Amino acid sequence: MKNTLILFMMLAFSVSLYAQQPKTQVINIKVSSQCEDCKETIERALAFERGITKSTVDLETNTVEVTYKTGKTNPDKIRKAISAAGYDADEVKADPKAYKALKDCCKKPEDREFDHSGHDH
Amino acid sequence: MKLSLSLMSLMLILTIVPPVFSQEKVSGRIVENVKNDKIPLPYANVYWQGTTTGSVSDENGQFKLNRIPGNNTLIASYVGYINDTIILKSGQKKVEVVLQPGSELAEVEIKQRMAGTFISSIKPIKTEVITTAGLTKLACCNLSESFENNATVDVGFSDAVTGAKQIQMLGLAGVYSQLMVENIPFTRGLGAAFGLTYIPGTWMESIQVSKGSSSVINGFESMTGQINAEFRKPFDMDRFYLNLYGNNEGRLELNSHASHVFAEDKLSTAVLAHVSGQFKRIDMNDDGFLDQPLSRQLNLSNRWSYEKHGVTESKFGINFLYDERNGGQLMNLQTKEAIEQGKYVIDLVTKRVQIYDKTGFVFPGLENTSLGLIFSGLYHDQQSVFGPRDYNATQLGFYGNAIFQSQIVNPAHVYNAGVSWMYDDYDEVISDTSFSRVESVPGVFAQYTYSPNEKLSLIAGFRADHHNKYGTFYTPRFHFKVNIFEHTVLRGSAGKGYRSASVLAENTGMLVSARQLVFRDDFTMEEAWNYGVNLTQTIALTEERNLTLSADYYRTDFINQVILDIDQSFDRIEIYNLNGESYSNSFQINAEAGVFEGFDLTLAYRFNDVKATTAGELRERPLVSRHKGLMSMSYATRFEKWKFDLTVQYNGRTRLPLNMPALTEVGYGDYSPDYYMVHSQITRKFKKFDVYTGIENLTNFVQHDPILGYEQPFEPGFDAGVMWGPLLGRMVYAGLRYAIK
Repeated sequence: MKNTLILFMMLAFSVSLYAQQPKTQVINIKVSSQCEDCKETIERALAFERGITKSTVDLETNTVEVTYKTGKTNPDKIRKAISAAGYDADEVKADPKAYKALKDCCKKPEDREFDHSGHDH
Repeated sequence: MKLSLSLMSLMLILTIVPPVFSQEKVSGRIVENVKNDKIPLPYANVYWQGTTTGSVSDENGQFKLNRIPGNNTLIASYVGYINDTIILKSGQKKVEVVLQPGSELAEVEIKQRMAGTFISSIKPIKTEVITTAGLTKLACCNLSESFENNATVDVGFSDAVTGAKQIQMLGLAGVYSQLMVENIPFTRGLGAAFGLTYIPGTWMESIQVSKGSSSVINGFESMTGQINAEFRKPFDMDRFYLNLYGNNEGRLELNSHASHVFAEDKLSTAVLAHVSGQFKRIDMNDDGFLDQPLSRQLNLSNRWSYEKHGVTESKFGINFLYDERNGGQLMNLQTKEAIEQGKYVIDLVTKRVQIYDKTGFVFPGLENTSLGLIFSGLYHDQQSVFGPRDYNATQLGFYGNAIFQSQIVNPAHVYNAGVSWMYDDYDEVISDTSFSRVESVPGVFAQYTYSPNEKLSLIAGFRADHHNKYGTFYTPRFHFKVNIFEHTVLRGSAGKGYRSASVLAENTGMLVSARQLVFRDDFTMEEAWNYGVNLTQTIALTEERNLTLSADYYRTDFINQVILDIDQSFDRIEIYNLNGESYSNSFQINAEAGVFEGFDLTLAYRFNDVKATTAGELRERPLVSRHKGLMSMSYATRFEKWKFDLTVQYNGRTRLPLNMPALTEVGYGDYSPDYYMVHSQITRKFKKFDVYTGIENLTNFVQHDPILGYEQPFEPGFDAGVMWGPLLGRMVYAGLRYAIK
């Protein structure tokens, strides 16, 4: 029991040591978010991308602040991931298929089926 | 244990913060379009998706609702209309919802919740709903394993050889509760013994558990409660799904589904497949008997859904099952060799085919009016050997139910009326003695629901059925629901239930013993009253997290019961009609809380007092525990990237059968010991798939000497049916889920 505990502590220690090594960077990317749902969608998509530790979409400025590990990913890959989720990311256009699958309220105003009612069937 | 409990309560207290002052509100109106006019819909439900926060529209269709941060999805529903999902823009304060008439066969369904279980606040009958999230907490394997973190339903092995599992509700055997799949009776008759293992975990979308009397619409059978499993629906399930599971004891499992939606969402279909098996021979307690049988199961389902907006909705399909089990003294032998060498072997082969159709029609122009038709046909065949006994049985069954619903003057008065027919042809033979019979039960029923506002619901139901052997019988049932305060709900129920027992099929455990079956009487129909009350209180801890407290008490009083008396002597089971009192009192309290973001805690305690008169004396029922405690903790990081689950169960002692010297020989007293069970699981979500691993029975507690007299299984004294505890020790498992949306 005692041995397992020591082993576990050593393991935890080594993990924390390892975690300190890769450098993190913060980058702001302009995105085509429209509503609260988009914030959720983009942040969820980035949460499961390799190397991304945190992302926050600001709906006022339509930008996403991404914290990532430089050794594991880069800004291009992050923009591609946002595009794959259906949103424009800086100069990278949204993946058309993913954009089409977005909820009505997440689409750009000109593409919405029900602009005013906000219905989603 | 004590420390962690007080720590938990401290944390609970700390998280109760004063209410937030400025709460944003959304107001709106729910209407329908009639000839270009908007007619308000009163008493329609609106709620935030994935929460229990909701409201009901008033006489003018108006409603007001507090906003929940981060949640913009409102769902509006109304009986006889198609649910509508409305996504609000940030800052939007007003909304108008136009509902389209359409059939809504299923009750209001609420999906994709964070919580693993919740108590529905809408339904008049208290219903605990175990969601997909709750189902994935216990990765394996089928319905029988879905109740480990639920205090209402107990699950245990029925014997130490066949692997059959039995549930208990209110301290009474599972046969006294009605088990249904999508409101069609599922485990009646021959399916009773292994039926729970015929429903793969990944096929289910949710399970609804309700205690006490249920609605007369679903029949006369439920006495202690009702369990309804809803399968995944072809029109909104993943296009492809794959689940692989394996554990260190040699169980492998594969579940896969695929679905397709045809033109314009009207027609959709799904194929669900389950293949599993126990491939390793395990005998941890060295009694020469396999701890669980070698097994193979193939389970297939093809489901179809058809919907014509506002006119009809239909669900139909076919299920096929093949299940094979070989257990007993097979440690180093093949089944055939073992039988030739005179070993004790159980060998079961089950084949089962079920077809079903549920169709609903609405009548445009007639408010709240619909007709539902439910049909199901069943073929179930079991060929089996239990040591020296042969048991072969076939059941051909038909079930039909037609339900008409309409309102009197306004939606406050809704009535249902209908007819049903249950037909079962049993061909059942045990060691040359035939129990073959035909049961045919036509019936009529009516139910009236009075719900003048969202605070009050009253339901009164009555049915009359005629059994070809037992004659005519009447089933009255009542329910009420009152919202005493905004967040305090009181419910009550009273009603009768009946059933005709299939003694052999429902009690396979007793076949795995050298006990002689002594039938003293010609059975009468089992008959019982059930009464219950329950109180649910929801307390908002913060805007997003709730504490739900509930307490309930149920009593079941048997008028007639088929008693299986194992107390008279170790060498026989006497089976006779109840002569005297038989009852169950069950009291339960529950607390469920979102303690902090991502962390849910459930605490529950249940007390059962179950007694029956056997041989002229009122005795505590054997093998039923009086006390049960449960603590379940769940922590998920944001977007459920990581998920940790831990369940601790306390099971109190149970009375052991009398007159069994073999029990004393292996060191038992009058009661079995009490014990704890601990289960844990970790899930990691990736972009395209999930992986999970967990440990069941972490403390490795097992019932000692589960097979009495195993040295001489063909001699009096052999008994594998005295089960009070877990049979399998610590088990490590891992699995994978992959889905294409």
